[in-house]
Amino acid sequence: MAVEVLAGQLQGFSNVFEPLNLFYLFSGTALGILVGAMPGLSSPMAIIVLLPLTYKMEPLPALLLMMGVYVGTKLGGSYSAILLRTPGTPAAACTALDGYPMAQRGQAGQALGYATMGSTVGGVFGWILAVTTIPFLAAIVVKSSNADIALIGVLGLTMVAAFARASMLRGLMGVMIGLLMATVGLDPLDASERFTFGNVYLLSGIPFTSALIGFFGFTVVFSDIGTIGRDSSFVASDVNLALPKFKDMLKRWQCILIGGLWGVGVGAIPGVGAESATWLAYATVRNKSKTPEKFGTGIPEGVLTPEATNNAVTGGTMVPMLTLGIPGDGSTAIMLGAMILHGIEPGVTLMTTNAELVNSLLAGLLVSTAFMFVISWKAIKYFILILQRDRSWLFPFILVFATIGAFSSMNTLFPVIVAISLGIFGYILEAQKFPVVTIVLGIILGPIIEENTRLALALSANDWSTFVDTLPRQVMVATIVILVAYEIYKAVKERYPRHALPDSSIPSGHSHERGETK
Amino acid sequence: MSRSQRKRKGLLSLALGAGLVLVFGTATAAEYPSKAIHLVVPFKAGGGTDTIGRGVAEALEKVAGVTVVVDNITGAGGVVGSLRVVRAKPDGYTILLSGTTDMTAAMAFKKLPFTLDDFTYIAGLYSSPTWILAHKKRGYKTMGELIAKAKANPGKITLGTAGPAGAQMLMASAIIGITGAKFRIIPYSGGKDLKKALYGDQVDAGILHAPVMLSAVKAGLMRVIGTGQPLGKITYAPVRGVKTLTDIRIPIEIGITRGMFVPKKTPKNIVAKLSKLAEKAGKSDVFKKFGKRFGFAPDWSSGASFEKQIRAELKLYKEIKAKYVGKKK
Amino acid sequence: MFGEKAKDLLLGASLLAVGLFALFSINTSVQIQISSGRTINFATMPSIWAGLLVFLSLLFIANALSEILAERRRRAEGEGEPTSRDTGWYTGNNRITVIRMVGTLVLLIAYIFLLQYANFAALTTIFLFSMFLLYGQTSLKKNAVVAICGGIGFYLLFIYFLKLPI
Repeated sequence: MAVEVLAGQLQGFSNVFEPLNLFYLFSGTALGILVGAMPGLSSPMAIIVLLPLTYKMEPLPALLLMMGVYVGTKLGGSYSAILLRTPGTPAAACTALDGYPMAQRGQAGQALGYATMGSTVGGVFGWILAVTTIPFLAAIVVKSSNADIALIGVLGLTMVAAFARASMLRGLMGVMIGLLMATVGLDPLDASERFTFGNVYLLSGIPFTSALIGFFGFTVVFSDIGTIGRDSSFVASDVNLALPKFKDMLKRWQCILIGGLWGVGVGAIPGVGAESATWLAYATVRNKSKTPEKFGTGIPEGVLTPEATNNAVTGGTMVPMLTLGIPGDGSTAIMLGAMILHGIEPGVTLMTTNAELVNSLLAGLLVSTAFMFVISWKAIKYFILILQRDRSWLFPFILVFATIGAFSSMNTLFPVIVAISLGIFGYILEAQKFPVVTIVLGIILGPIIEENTRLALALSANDWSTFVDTLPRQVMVATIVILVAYEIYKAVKERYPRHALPDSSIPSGHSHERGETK
Repeated sequence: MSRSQRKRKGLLSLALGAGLVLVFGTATAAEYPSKAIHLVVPFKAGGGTDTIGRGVAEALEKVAGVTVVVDNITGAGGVVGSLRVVRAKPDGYTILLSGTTDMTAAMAFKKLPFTLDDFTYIAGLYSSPTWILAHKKRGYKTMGELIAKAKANPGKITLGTAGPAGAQMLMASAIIGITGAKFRIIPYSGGKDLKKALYGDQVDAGILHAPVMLSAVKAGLMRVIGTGQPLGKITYAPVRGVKTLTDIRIPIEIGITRGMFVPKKTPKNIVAKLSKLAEKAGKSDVFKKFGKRFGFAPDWSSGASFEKQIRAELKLYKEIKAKYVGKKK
Repeated sequence: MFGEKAKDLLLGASLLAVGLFALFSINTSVQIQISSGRTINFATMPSIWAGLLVFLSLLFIANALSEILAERRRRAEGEGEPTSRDTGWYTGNNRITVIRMVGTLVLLIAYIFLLQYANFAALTTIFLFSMFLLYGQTSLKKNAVVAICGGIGFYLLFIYFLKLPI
């Protein structure tokens, strides 16, 4: 069995190493990094544009081109996340949390280094897992049911504490806002209208891209307008890529492992949503860390983890795409469409009828990751050059990118208006120390939890015990309970030593407020 | 202050520039088609309608001689994109590519900001019925068996639909209503969720637009136990004979035809030219090849018959909804 | 005395209002219930989230109030006022920032509004140019050059390559 896999992979690699294929793979990766670095532009956008251009090509080079873009954007997004605080791609939004503070302290080079290494190692890790487990991972994935996914969602929610930073109460409120925002639109199970107020556009809810661009693009610009004029460039002028040493990476093996596992896991289970992977991994690493309070202030782990995760996702999404023909995210959905248009039939038979293509694509994934590393290493100084311009030059460009980026999610003005409004909303919230990140988490996790809980209940004829029916579910429920209990315990413990005011009528949960000074 | 003076100069030149821009914004009219055509697909890239749309675009480009660009204008289950075309300039350069049931099912459930009268119909290009699949592990070979099982075990047999308020839901409700078999409907939010559930053997049967999951059928993993319309045109011969619902005395026909629509006021000569182009594209070898890959032989129908089809479908769906679907609050 | 805590109070009250509003206006049009509403129906989750938001907002307001009172007490006892963060709703210290923020919003809204009527490349160039001015770049020539390059660049990217229907 292992021999077969090896032989198949060798065949795949030999295909990929043909000059034409290598060329397309390389160009795609370079393009991906470029697209990723531009805020507002994303991988699906670039891939869909390339699609008509590939009609005249053979399927393999066409798919390799797209795959290159897919992989490249995962790293490119971190450039602007670290240097501008605006993620170039949704997948890099988590990287900004620690990446930008590092840049502010003059450690931009290191942050970029960790991002590059993290993406590369994460991608390789994802590849290894995908290749070795594709045969039976597919079976496991398929067995996963709505109850499992719902529990993963709730698990993610409990980890929100990781993002609440100083104030638990505000973090929770942020999550509630996000969850509420996610319910706007049509109910997923019976199409009832919720919060639509008769507006046609609101029928499909608040566009996720708008939320991302609004909170991480416009909010950042609005917040930082005040800093234009005095020492206004984002980072100090001598930033060079500083790749972390091997032992620095080794020290942080947990980040890579956790990131890789979450990335592949989330990527492989369609329905969880690849967007949530980086947040889940970040929260897990933070919760396990001995110094959780350092997260968010600018530590390498905070950059390494999400970057490793989002590249591991590329390996994960290969599993359902190649074995079942089910996409894990927007980019793979387009790749599946591209396959059909090129005459390939995705689905359960792909592995058997076209094993060569499957192996070549997997090989391409690894080679693309390698290219990504090399390109980043060599070309990053050009990116840094551009991204280091004075804010008064960059902000207008960012605004145009953000505006058009929001536009392109639905090709109407609606998401742009939403994005700008959310940008203002986010600005107000951030000014009052609300971690806007929690809102985004709520938006991501809300639908996952609601839809899957209700579907699980529908499947089990309203039997709530379905959530503890199998061992994995029992483990997850136990973990959730433990995490919640732990958070409450921490909150209560903090309250008593610092209880300076004789105001005991207010219950615990927001004692962090009193503890912190303004 | 010289700074505000400069600012004022800047504003003035801005105003001038803006004026020039507005003046030169208009395009000139010429022989149709003389510039790029925008094919609006009101769904996300990578989905079924989008893939078909791109196949159509490729074929149309060859016969029209101009670039055909696909615009994914998404939202509200196809309503936003359709609305955009309704309101677009009726010059034949903005065409809607959508499926009949996407519109009619939505219209059966709620009032949309447009009606079937807001369009002129160019052609129907790709038809496929809605079929019912079951995982081979479940053992059902025909729809009849499934219905019998459901009748014997009310509330226990699950029927998945690929959407809570679409054609599949209408079919499920109609089946339940006409046969009296008490299925439990599991409304997944989209085709890919139902696909995963079927692969995972989590529902007894699922209703999808053919030819989704054709590869699974070919591999023997899934069985086609019923269909809303005859499967004669499907590329995979062994399932061509599957009994339709009408055959087993459930007299409803449900399928989806993707076609081209333009705004109502489009001038007759442009409509005529476009219809000819659509016919050529629909019958072209390029499109036939696409059809083979996608699973069905393409089936061009004229604008007039497409219109008749969609109006009849709307009537049928409204009936089904009124008779068999949930209760209004 | 519009200090940080007062702003907190205002924000808390607004969110409370939002939560309450959400609780009562989940569905304003006719709804069809297909999945028969057993335990969980379409209004369940939004109600839970809205309810929790209301609850948390109340906590937040209570907390803000208690801290305002504590602050008053502290000030009465002679301690100094706590420093507020630099970026607030309106930063009394920096009028230019406010002008820039408002200006940015105005220009943005004008930009997206006019996009429906005017040419993308030209409009983008004008937008960029005005923004540079707003942000204090005084060299008209430099602004114009960068703006034009930007306009052309964006045009190529979005219209030519991505073929966005703007």
